[in-house]
Amino acid sequence: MSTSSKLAALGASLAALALTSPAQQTLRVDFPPESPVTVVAADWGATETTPRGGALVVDLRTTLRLRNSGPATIRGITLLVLAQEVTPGGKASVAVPSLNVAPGETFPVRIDLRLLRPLQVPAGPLVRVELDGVLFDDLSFYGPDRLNSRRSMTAWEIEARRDRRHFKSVLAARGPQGLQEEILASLARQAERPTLDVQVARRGRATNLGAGRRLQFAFLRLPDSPIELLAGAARLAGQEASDATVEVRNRSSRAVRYFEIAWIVQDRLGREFLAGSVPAETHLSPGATGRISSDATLRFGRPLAIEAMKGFVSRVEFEDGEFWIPSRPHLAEQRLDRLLAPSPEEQRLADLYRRKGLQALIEELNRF
Amino acid sequence: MKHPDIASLALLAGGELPFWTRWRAERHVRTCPECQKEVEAFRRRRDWFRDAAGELPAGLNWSRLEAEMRANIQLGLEAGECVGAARPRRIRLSWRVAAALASIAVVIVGGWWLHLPHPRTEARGGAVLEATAEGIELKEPHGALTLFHSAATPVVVSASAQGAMAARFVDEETGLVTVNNVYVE
Repeated sequence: MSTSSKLAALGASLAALALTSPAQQTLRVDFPPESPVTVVAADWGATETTPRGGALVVDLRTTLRLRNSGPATIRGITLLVLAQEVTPGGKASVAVPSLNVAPGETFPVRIDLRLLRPLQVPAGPLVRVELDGVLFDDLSFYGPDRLNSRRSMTAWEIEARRDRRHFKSVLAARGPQGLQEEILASLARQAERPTLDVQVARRGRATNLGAGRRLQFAFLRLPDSPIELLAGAARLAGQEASDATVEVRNRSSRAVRYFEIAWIVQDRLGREFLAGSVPAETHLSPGATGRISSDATLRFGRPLAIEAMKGFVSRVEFEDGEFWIPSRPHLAEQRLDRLLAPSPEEQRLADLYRRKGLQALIEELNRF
Repeated sequence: MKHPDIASLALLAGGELPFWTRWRAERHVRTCPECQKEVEAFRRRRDWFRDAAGELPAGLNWSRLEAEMRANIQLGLEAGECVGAARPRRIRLSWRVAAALASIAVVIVGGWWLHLPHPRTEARGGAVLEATAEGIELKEPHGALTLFHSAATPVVVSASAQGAMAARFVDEETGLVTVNNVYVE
């Protein structure tokens, strides 16, 4: 056994000891033994339990320090967070995209959560944290992928490459000052992006009286989108939107297995908001048409007189595992960049500029 | 900048302000971090009270409570009979005055009713996902799970029509982009 392997084994043993101490019996971390990511340490910070009426509030604040024990650079990781005794109808995950962790390096993942649970629950850990997946720089993937994290992380990585390429080309064409202007414009877009408070409930929990009305979508066409949106509508009742159905056609030469539609709503004053996305698992052969529908109800947090709805294809996954995402010029042409959230990488680069300045941003771009 | 008074913020948090007052208050709160905090605090307290009120005292005997209430009402009626000998003289109203008073009453009651926040009918008590200022919360009938994004700003919140919500932010402590996702099944 090499020295590094011995150190890794020692670290894992210490972590296992830390994770099974009585104070942390509420949370259990389970990674597969052959995982390319290992837990090196866990900081439990201010984890505490407080009674509230007939319930108990459990605040879990932990930072896991993980090591890349595999042979390739890690680009992203997703941890599955399960609290089945408390919330059997749901689960959660914490993902960290836009990583650049070389073999042997460590990185932190913070999990801050609160559970409100009845006083009487069966013994055993309340929360289980498991590895759902790790994405490497060659887009290979390891993990059970119960949350489809491979898809999310691959799409984020492709967006990251698109955005780094964009900022590097701005730097090459317009110099540091041009890059500064571009990143300031990005920060301004992030600050001014109109937001909408939304609740999500599964189908059947419609809370408004009356059947509401069905409103047709107006679709925006991005020139190179492999999926064409033909027609669609959603049911609006009070502050709720539900039962979105859309007919689509695969206009590419490859079969499609997944796509997402960005859903924009417009109020009486002409203000537009990104209400959410409509994802669809499908199998669409080249030229085939299909129909998708949503399962959940979106409930807006404030009264919103919706006058119109728009949609456009924001992500496509082909059967061969490759992705299509909209290009930055096409998003800018349709003025969608002011509504869409920036990619995780753009968010990270803008934050790096905000914290450490232009030189740090240039150095970071040059690392790729 | 003139802030709404604290009572208005409390009523706003509970969704109990009349339309125009609510519109003005919401417009102000959207741009005022101070008032946003107040409203969030009221909402948290309201949730806390709702949770606490959901718990009834152990061993509550409804039958005995009902019997006591009936006895108290009966006692009140009998006491009223004892002191109710002197009746006031009846005042006769003309039909025109009575009609005018009735119209005014209809207008007042109608206006009051229209300003009431009308409760929605909950078809089913299923799980709901909600984004708050602190994190993404999954509420179920017997428990709740919240994934926090702490003091991170800006936070990009997105909803999926297949039943998921995500909050994306740069973690102030680790400096890494983190995506908290909560799914409802």
